[in-house]
Amino acid sequence: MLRYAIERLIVMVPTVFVLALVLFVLMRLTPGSPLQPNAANANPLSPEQQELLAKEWGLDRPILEQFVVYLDKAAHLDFGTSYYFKTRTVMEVLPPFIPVSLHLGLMALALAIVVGGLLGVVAAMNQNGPIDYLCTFVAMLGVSLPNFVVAILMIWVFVLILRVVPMTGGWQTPADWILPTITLSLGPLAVIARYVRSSMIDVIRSDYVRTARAKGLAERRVVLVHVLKNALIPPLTILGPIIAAVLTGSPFVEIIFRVPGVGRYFVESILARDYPVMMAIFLFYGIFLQVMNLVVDLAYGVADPRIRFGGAD
Amino acid sequence: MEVYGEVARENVAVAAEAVDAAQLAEAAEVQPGRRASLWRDAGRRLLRNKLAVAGLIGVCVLVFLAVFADVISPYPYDYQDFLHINEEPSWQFPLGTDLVGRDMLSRVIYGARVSLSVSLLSQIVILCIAVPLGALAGYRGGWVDMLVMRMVDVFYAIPSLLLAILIMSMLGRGIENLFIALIVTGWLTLTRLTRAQVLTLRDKEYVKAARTAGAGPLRIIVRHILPNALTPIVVAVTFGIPQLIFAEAALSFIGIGVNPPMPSWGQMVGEHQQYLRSSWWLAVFPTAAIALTMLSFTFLGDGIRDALDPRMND
Repeated sequence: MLRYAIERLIVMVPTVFVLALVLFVLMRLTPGSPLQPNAANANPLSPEQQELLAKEWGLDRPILEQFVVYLDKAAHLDFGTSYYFKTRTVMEVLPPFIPVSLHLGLMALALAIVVGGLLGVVAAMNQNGPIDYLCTFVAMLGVSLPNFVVAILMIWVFVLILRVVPMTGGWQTPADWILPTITLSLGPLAVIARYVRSSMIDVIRSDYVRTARAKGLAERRVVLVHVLKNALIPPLTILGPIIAAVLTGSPFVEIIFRVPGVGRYFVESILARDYPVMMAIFLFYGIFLQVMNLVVDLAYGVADPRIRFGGAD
Repeated sequence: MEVYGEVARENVAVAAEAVDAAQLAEAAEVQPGRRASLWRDAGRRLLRNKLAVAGLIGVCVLVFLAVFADVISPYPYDYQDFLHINEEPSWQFPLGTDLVGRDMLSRVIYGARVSLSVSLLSQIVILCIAVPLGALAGYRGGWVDMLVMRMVDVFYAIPSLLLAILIMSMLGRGIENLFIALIVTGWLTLTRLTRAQVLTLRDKEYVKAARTAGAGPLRIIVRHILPNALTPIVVAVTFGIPQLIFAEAALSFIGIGVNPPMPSWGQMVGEHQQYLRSSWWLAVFPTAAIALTMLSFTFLGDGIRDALDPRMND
């Protein structure tokens, strides 16, 4: 187990390295260098001054050397100065956004797991009953509707027409949390509900559950001990992609609900062509996803002892 | 976005349909000359599924709007009426007018054209790239397979929407760049699927028989393997289209999709979401258009999958 975790951590290093390299090269290939005296809209400095600047910023070096320098600094959490907030470094601008996104993401994830799990369980227990159809319906909506569509419809219906949720925006009071959390959780919730339902149905039909019933155990005990315990393990595998979905879905939700999180800032930095910030956030997302996938895989092994890590045992 | 589609594809939650053994046998193996009856059976099963029919009708309406946009829409999409700026829905402008006096109905209708053409064209290109690539990797094996699959793995490590955003922010917005971003991020699933199919089919008896009879690799792949792998490919393509529609809408929502004044639903939603309280019609109608489109394609896709492969229903 420990060996497996360490191996996975070691494999992560080249993946992140390749990701960083690709990002770096792509960003450097993007048109719009400050040092192209002949380009349209070029800066008005004379070629000699530009050369001086290039030397000062290290832009006259080969791109691979620039990459190594960048990587070295990034490893020390120095991502350079924001092009947009010209006097502030990325590390001064970015950190305040992170807790907000984390808070939103965790609440959405918790809601998705609890409600989606419950919905899936109840649907499987009442197969082809009304609750089952409700589950299928919610799952269909959640899977097929993009979350910015859900966000707009949520605001329109619950805030503007029914007026059951106050007009909000920002991230100060718990009232601000309601709609963004529900919106962000709907997609993952649907996926979890579907997975839990089909996993439950698989287990309900299995031999050991029939045996448990046959030896006269109470229905409640069969469900809680025999079915649930086994049926809730396979859905763990989709938590990795789901975390990715919550993460990449958050820009839209954050924009529409005016939540000051990383996702919204990410989009703003793209529109402002703030490359150092974009680069930092891409790296942050990439590493975060890798780590979360590892955590999910390990959790899977802990939950299900039948899964063995590494080949040797 | 990839995530949901993937899970939706793997997961079948529709009630099982009784299918007799003859149909099963037909669905399992396609023989030349009997293909027509497989598709006829599938069509019949599709039409029995109410949700799928609803989806089919939705898609037909959408295609109709897209094809005949210039005939149906009351105004050109970029026509500005300065006397009617930001007006509520009325008889003259059934869906209202936007902030620069353009008719929302016309823009939503033209939006169907943008949405559909972008998704269909990029799906066709993806099909032309992914199927040969996957077939090659699966049939040849060895280092070709290694190379292709490592490439797929690298792309899978990055969430596709983030990658699409990265590409668009690099290339700048515009419909040509949109195609590039969608194709670069969209070829993975189909390549993997085709490879897996070819891998399982290439050692079947009938393929061996064809090889013994002297058929070359190209002929074996095109005539013997691909026809039998058609079902999952068709299903993947049907589910791929709403994914691409979503991706286009999402990129345009952020403001890095199509170029204005070309109307895109996603862009209309993104641009107008801040005026939801004062002018609800600006964002709600394009949102509804996206929602109905996505639902139609999902219903149709679920229906096609169930119709083509009744065994998966269980």
